[in-house]
Amino acid sequence: MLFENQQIEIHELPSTEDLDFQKLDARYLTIKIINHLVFFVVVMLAVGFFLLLENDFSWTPTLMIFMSVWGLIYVGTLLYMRKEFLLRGYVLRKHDIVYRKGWLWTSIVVVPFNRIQHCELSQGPLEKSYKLAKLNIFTAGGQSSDLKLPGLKKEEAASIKEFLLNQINEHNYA
Amino acid sequence: MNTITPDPDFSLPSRQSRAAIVIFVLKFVNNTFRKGWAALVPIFIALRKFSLEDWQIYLLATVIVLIYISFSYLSYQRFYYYIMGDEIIIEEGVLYRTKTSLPFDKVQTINFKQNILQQVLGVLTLQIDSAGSSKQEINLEALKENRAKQFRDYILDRKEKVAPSGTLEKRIAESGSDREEDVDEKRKEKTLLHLKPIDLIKIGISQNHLRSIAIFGAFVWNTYAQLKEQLDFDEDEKIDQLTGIIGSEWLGRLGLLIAVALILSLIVSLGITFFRNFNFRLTETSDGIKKRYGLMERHEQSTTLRKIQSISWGDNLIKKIFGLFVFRMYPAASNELSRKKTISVPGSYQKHVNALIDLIFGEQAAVDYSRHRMSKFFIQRTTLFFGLLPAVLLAIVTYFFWGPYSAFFLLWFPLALAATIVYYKKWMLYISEEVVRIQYGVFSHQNKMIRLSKVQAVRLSQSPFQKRKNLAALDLYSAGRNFSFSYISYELALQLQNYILYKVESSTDKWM
Repeated sequence: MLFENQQIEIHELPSTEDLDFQKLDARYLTIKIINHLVFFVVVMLAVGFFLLLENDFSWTPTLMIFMSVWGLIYVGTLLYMRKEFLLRGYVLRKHDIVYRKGWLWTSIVVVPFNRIQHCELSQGPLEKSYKLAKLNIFTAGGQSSDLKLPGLKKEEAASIKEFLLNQINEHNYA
Repeated sequence: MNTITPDPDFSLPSRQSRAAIVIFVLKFVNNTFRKGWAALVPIFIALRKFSLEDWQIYLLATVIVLIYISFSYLSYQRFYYYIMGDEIIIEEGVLYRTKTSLPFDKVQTINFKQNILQQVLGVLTLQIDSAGSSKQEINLEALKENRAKQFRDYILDRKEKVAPSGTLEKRIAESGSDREEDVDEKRKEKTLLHLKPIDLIKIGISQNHLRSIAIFGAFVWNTYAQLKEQLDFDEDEKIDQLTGIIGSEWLGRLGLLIAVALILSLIVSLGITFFRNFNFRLTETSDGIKKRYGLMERHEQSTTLRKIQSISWGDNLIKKIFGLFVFRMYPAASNELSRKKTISVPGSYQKHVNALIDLIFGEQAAVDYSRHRMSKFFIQRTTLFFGLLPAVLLAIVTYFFWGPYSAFFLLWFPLALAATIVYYKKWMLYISEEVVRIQYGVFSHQNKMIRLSKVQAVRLSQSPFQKRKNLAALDLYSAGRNFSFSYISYELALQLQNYILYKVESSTDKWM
């Protein structure tokens, strides 16, 4: 047949619903929590230092209340972060990569391979010690459509990157 | 072939036209005045104080002029452009040399610009824009007209060879026949739209006058503030007197002031529109769309059809009476530069809009739509968060200062409700086999349209509320502009996401 023009049944198209998502490495969660705690502790220390310097402790009760409220919110945030992180996942399909995020506010981003501009690995100091890496996938759709996949094992990230680069080359020189 | 023009060799570093010296002088003078004109005032005052002799002043003036000219001459002398390998190279700078290189495959658009001086000198500005994260741009401000055209054609030719497009045979056939014909002949242009003076008047009248007033006001204020800072005027007292007068009979004067401001802004808008868009012409070229316009400054902007990612068109209350639309085309660009690259048509009629849609998307692409509305929950949520809550909060907060008068803020709620209902009624999502179009607006009708295969990534998201009501939001990211549909049913969002992915992944066309 020279030309095929089959009718497309929308319901038969591959769906992004109910995919078997690959979980991210839970050790990345530890890194996230450490980063947040460091910030929290630094702010606490700065406030304490300031109070010492001024030698004025009349504000201490107010500050204590303020700090404890903030601390409670902080704990809440950390719990949400944990729950949210455990729900994250990605899937590599034949033609695209799917990334799911969120607990109460959820989102699914899909980037087709033939629209990826380039991809790279990045590693923070903590990630390095855990042998984790972050995979950044860039499209021409601007920052909001760039896919950032944190918490991948170094080798895993490298092999996905290799795979994606192969896909990009295939599409560019097909 | 009548005349044999020697193929220009662009691989050797060449200077621009000598006219560049004149243009550089004016540019430097212009720069001095623009950036440092306020600094000139104290200099003049100082000159007065020192009471220089006439000859000393002449000498000083001559020295300054000489500095300008020699600097411009050196700038011209040390400015080179050439092509090395697959890159366009610019070397420039008198003291600090800079070297800019731009690979052919990064070249996005090549535009011409010509102001009055350049018209007299017979040269023009060649602007080469690039895409992607490397925010590069090349400006050659004084190229002889035919040299500029040769350079452009050469770059476009080489660019094609570096990155062969899907329709390679067609391109080769075209470039083969190019050489046989005259440079201007080959790009047969078909006028798509030409704005006559009467159209310009309509466009001028239907401009956003509030914006004109703001621009004009900002200009006046800025000038005044700079002058005041320099000359140390003691105007505050006078202004206090002035505002005192206004304050005493302010109601009558306010009406007069608004009337004057409106008339003034109408004149300013008309003037700006006329100067800027004089002889506006949109043409279809062999490979894309070209726009030319301007009275004092002639501009030329062009793009290929393939590069256009999405389009938009819309009216406003006055434009609706005239049947006018502002039409915009968004070529692929990194986000930071996208505004500059947008090809905007200040006034077009329905037939032009239809013709442009047919040209850009193909005549079959934009038919057979299925239509979809937002969920009614949009009205409920929007009026709650942007109507009721702010109205009540403002009323409560201001109650402590203004007492019962703060109840006026409650009026915000019915206004917001009305606007939201109108927005809901106008909002419509059209999906065809190839394109998606969205229509929206409160006081105006706005439209956005994108070819599904131009989408870069798709995002489906749900808030807790949307989850409860089985709704979702869908974001389409493109290199031109992003599309966002909120409060559509989850099934629709999911189906559309799957369908768009199917379209993108099965498409073999280059998206740019």
